[in-house]
Amino acid sequence: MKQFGVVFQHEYLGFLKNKVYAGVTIFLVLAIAVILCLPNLLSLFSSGDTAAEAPAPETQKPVVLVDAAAAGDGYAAYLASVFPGYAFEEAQTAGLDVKALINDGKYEAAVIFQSPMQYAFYTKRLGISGSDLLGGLGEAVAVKMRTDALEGLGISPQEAEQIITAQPEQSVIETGKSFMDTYFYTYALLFILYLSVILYGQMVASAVAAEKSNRAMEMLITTASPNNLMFGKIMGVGMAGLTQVAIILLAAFGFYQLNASAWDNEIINSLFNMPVNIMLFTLLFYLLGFFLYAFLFGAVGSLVSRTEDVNTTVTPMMLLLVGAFFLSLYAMLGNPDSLLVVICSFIPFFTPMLMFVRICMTDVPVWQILLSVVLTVGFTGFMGWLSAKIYRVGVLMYGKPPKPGELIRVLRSSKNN
Amino acid sequence: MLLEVRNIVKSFGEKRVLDQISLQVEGGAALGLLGRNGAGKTTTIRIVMGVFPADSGEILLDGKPISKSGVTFGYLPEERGLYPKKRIGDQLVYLARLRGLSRADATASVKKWLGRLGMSEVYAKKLDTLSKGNQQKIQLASTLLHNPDIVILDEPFSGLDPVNASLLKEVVRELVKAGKTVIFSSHQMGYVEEFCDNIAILNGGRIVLDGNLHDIKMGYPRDRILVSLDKGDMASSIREALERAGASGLVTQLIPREHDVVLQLTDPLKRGQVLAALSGAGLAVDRFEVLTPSLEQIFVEKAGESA
Repeated sequence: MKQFGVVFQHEYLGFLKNKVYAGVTIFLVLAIAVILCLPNLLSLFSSGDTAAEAPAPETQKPVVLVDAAAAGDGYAAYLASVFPGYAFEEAQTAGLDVKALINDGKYEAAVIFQSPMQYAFYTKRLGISGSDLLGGLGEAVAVKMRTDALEGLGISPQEAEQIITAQPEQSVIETGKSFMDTYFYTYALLFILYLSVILYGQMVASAVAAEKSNRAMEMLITTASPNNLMFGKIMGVGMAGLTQVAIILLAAFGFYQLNASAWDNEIINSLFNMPVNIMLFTLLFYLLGFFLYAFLFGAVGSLVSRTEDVNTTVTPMMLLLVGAFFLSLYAMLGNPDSLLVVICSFIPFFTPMLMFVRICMTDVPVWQILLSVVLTVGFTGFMGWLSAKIYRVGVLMYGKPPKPGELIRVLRSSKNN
Repeated sequence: MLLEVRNIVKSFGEKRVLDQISLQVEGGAALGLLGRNGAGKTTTIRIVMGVFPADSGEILLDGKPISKSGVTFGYLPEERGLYPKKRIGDQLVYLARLRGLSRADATASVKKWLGRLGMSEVYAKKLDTLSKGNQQKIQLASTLLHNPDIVILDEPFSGLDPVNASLLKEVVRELVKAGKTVIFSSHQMGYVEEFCDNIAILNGGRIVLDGNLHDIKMGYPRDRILVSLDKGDMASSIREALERAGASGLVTQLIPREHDVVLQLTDPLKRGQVLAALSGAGLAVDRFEVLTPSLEQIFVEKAGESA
């Protein structure tokens, strides 16, 4: 146990003292600080320059040419009341080259009526979001026609408008967890989980392989028990990862609290108003996911002799992780209650991400959560035991990484392990 | 402290790597563990240190099965290597603490050993800034930091210049004198002869020769005498002297070599008469000694035949 403590301390402090690790952590905290302080920073800059905020003078408004001879009187004034951002100019266009006028920049757009319910809309180019003018034009024209028609029946313009614009009041109640409320923080946490398992898992594998390739292992293996070496290293790296994630999350929450009043962005607000139990689940599944994969990465690291070989050898685990991640995305965007998702959320390799998504976005029965956690803990324990066996044998093997069949044979033949 | 290895057998897969290995090492007398590459030296050492178990056989310390907690090992592996990018002091303290020293004791011991090896100034340097020989000394320090009971040195002299080599010799002599159990593995026979009272030669996973080096040498027939004179044609002078003393019958063969002559005697016990004949003839004898095989010759003879 003492040896385990020494290895753990060595690995953990080694990370904290590492310049890259410290640099990345500080950079991320600063980046978060800048992003979350952005609204306050922006208002700081703009407060001294209120003139820029004033409405643009009449002449600055884009001018739209209207030929409403076929539609009725006062169309330009009506449209100006519907679209206050534009100036409208009524004219006969029969003899004019409308395209040229628009391309020359004299007019922003042109609306030319063939009949009260038929018009052509000219504009130089529609962007990907179209034109706000075009978007509202159809509705405006329809309202105008209906109002005129009702007036023709002897109904006052005010009454006509009331009839036309009458809107039922609707309220939507989601009986499960709200998609919009849960989506963003689930996505953020899932991504953090995914990234840290990949990053720190890789680090475990590389660190083990590095000790083999620089032959420090020859010294270590005769000095300390392989179990202490492996578990001490994995716990040390895991704790370093957890420290980093904790620092970043705390910084994010801290800076959000400082700037909370300035944020009216729904996404950001939903991110930081996640329930406490979700944070606890994040911690639980982070630990489960990390250790399950870290044991695998540790075992694989012990099989390669050169750090260059690590990347190719960890590919199967990477595929598993990417698979778990995409399955989780599918669950988030599609149906988190589908049979495929429910079944896969009990497979230990997927549980940390998939069960986490389900808990965040739906109401998962308690027994299912407990079952999946018990299964994953049990499986992680098994992987730890297996990895320790592989590590014992692996650290003394040099040359090409063994094939799976070879490995099983060696493991079987090694007694007392 | 008596370390005994009894009838160790070890196979990796189909291949039998060690076959009934038995050894004895006593405190205060170093054992030279010799063998060609792949003879099983490293496997034997790893089994002794408990890195992996033997298929059968036992390791005893003072007659009792060895337990990892009861004894400390210091092992200098042939494949050298520590952390190239870490500060030397830090990694040595780490290794010492892994072997059970407290942080304070570990730091003190690291400083003591760096001083002993003349390297106090490298404590805060990174390992890869040192020359190969100096890295070797750091590795040696890491082996001895925790004052181990049993010291196993695998090729400790490779890469050392003569000054460092003599420093290391001094350290090894101190270890032996302090009663440590020392196992010394090397291909440089000169060093083995210098330090080791006992040797064991491994070949193809078996012990082909073991015992006290002096006894082994004495076990070879002592019927060859090396003679050298200060001047003149040595072979004819010796032949004349023998004839004059009527001792020609004692020598069956007279082999002139570049700087000396080897005499093959009919009876090794009659070498006194030969010496008397030479001095009686008034020859100035520089050397007159029984020719024993060198360790190198013994090694080539025993380990030379393919396993």
